[in-house]
Amino acid sequence: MPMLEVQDLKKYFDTPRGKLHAVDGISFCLEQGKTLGVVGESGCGKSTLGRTILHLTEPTGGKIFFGGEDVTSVDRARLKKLREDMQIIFQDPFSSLNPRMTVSEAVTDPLKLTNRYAKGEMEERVNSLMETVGLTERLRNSYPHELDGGRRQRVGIARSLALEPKFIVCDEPVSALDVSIQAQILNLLQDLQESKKLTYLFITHDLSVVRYISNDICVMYMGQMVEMSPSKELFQNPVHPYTKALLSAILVPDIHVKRERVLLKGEVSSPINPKPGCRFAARCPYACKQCEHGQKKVEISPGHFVACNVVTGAGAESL
Amino acid sequence: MEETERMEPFLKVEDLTVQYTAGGEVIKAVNKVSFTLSKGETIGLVGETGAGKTTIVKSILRILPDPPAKIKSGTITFKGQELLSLSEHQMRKIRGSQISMIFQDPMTALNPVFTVGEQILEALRLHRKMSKKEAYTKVCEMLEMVGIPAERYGEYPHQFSGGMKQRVVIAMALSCNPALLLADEPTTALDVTIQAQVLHMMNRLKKELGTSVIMITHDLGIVAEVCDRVAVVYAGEIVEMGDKVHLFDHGLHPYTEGLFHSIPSLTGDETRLKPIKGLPPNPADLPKGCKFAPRCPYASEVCREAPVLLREAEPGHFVRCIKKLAADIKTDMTGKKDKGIDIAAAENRPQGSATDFIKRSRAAREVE
Amino acid sequence: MADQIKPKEKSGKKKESMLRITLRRLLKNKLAAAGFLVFLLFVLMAVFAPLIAPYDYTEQNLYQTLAGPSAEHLCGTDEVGRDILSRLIYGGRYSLQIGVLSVVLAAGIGIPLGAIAGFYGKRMDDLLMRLMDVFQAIPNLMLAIALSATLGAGVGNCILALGITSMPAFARMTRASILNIRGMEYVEAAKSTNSNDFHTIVRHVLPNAMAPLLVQSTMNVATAILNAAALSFIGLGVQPPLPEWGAMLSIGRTYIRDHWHMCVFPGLTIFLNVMALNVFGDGLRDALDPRMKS
Repeated sequence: MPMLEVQDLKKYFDTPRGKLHAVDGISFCLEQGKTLGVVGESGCGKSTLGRTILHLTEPTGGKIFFGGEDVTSVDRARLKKLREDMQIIFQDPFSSLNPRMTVSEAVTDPLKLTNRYAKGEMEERVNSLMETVGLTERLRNSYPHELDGGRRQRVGIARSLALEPKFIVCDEPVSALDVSIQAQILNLLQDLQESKKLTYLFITHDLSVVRYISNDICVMYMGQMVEMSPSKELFQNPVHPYTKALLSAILVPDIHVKRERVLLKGEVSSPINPKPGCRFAARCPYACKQCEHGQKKVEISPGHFVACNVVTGAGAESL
Repeated sequence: MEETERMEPFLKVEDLTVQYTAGGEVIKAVNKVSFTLSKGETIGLVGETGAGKTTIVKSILRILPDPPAKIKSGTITFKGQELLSLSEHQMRKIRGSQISMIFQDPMTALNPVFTVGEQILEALRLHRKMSKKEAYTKVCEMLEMVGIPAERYGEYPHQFSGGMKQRVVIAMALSCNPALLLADEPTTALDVTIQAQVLHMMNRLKKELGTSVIMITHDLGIVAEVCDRVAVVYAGEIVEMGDKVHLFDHGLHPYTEGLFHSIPSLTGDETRLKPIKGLPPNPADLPKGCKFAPRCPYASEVCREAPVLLREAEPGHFVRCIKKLAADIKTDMTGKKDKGIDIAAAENRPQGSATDFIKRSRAAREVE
Repeated sequence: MADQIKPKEKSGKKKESMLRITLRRLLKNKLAAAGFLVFLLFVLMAVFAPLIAPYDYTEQNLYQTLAGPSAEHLCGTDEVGRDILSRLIYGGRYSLQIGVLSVVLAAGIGIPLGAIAGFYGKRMDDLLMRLMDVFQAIPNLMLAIALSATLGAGVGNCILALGITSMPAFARMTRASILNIRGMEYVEAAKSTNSNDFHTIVRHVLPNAMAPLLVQSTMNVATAILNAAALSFIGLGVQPPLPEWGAMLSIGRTYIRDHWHMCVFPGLTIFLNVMALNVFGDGLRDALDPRMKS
């Protein structure tokens, strides 16, 4: 049984200009101890996806099964319990910590809200958490502004580990960090995954990071999944035109690799009251008439899903 | 004037030292940075947050807030003119017309209550005497050049997306056809596909207009894409500088090496990254010796004792590391300090033109 | 692993309570400390008025009306020959009480209302803020007058009237800063770790919204003292012969051409208090912010 199963998840927001389809029909399965990378450009709905799975915002439609239990239909008390198993690490190590709480207060805060620990145990628990994420005890009473980005991110990780979750949404956890620190944090996340058998949903726009850390990758565009596949496969054999463009846009720190670059026209518009049909069509170099009719998700090889009529030739069916 | 222009490089920054004073602490943001830039060339300043990259380019434009920032020493020669000794009035004529800057965040660089066309027009009319009509035509040209239809002249910034705004900012910066463009992480706020578009456009414009560019970035991928030469900045110092091909193929400094190892590759099969240990030093309390020594896997006592100078390892390829220049170690072991180094350097006479280096060590001695 | 190098840190920091840190910082800020001392002095003077004041505040000396400052009457006397210094000392009892308590009342109601409106948004926000609009639509002093007139004169009712008048300002300010903070990721983090709304507001949201509110409070004390004077002036506030600074100032105004001391001393007293409170409020804001360098 997969640890997490998401079926046709939808999250719409009301805006003055209409309904914003932030997440529109996403489905996937995630096994325990594995990492699913979610990539896409800003505004593609990847962060909303993570928050909706954690029930930080109510989904508009679809189902989320966590350990076989439907999260969308449980009562409040049960949801509270489930939340302890599902945590989140945020992108911005500056705004994710309360500026008026010291490191130990920030890590203790979630512990206080559960009655799992007695007063005396809490101190011990905080110490061990800080050690786990590589923070020295001296920093206990430091305030966030006294720490650098990498250490703040460690505090954020310690806080999300406090309740011993099984599943963590990592929302761009290294995007705001310098490369040398980024590598430290990525290693830490990997170590934690191994030692605690954690399952990650790793949201990022950085493709080299996602390839490195994920088992599978889901590429999102305007709220929808365009391609999902095992990491290596996706990089070796991208099928969807958007994935191709995205991969070709990566700048590699290697001057000898001259790669063919697919430059896309235009920019992502926001998915407010989107027309039916492929949302990428407006920028797609291969777009044709049948793209107006919507696309179907097709499994072209084991575990490799693509939603594009042109590539899969599925246009006729969906008419 | 003609004479000097031929002899002097296009832009020459020498021994630039900038310090900030905050809460009684002196923060050494930039420490004796020297580099040159020729016409039409692009140099990349690479380094982490707080390494002093932005301070360097802001000193060139002289837009550092003073206080708390203070340019302690150094000269910046641009087309034979010493920028640091110009009056504010003279400097204003250079800013925007001969040297202009693109900032990281396009969202805050545009004034929301004026149309983008008006904003470019204003930048243009500030420096060039032209009629409204001429200027209007020029602005439309500029917009088309950066890939925005001229019809959008009358639209407001909020009607543009992030990538489009950055294009407007670039159009504004290039409107007076500056000889030098300072770009401070111009694509960091943009998505990858948009970044590709913008960099592509910048490369094209650079060629068309013959602009020299100083590109600040933390992304070695961008350097590979747009730069001719690279200077790696660490704790306010240039630790390695050289031709892009050279530096990417035989990076010498352990910090440069560490930067490359920290990025997951897109083709390799590594299961674990090799990050640089530890954190950058506190700029208010820099190590006495090599600034990178505390994080360096090769560091030994020698590195920690005395400051390390920038040496020319190969023609045009400078590095600030004694370990990687084993031949030079003896000069530092003599313990004669500056003098020893200077004499030894003169004797060794590193291959190629070493004038820069000699001047630098002489200045270093004078300061001390 | 990553902590092998420590760039200059105060090693082995001891745990210090927030109160002590605040106090220590406050004392370091000379100006704020001075402000606090001045204010404290006035409060003590008001409390121990019977011991300090040279005369009783009602004691009239009809032979010496409107006398200028002298050794006998340091601040002179008023139109019925009462010692102005004594009245100022006693006056602190009413003025400071009105100033401080009305602000406490305003903040006490306004801040929670603003917090609820800002945190929950939508319907709750609309409802509460429209209510505040109703209050704010009427000019402050008018409202205060209307309330006092309904409730009747007296110190207590004066506090109530002034408190309710300035409450919407607090609600609005709180709401504005909370709208900012609500979107912060640490608030979301709290939610994801099962923090209930009350805990989130009290621990995470309000402490970060306090800075502008503190400054606002100290300024409001000043406004309240002056508004109290206006109320007294039309006979709705503190009733004569009780001394009240604002009232003394407004009576002094009629004599300003010939007897400057009637105006200057009460004016100076109010000015000193307001100044002291503002400086103190500023210092307090800085001291409460852990981001400020200690």
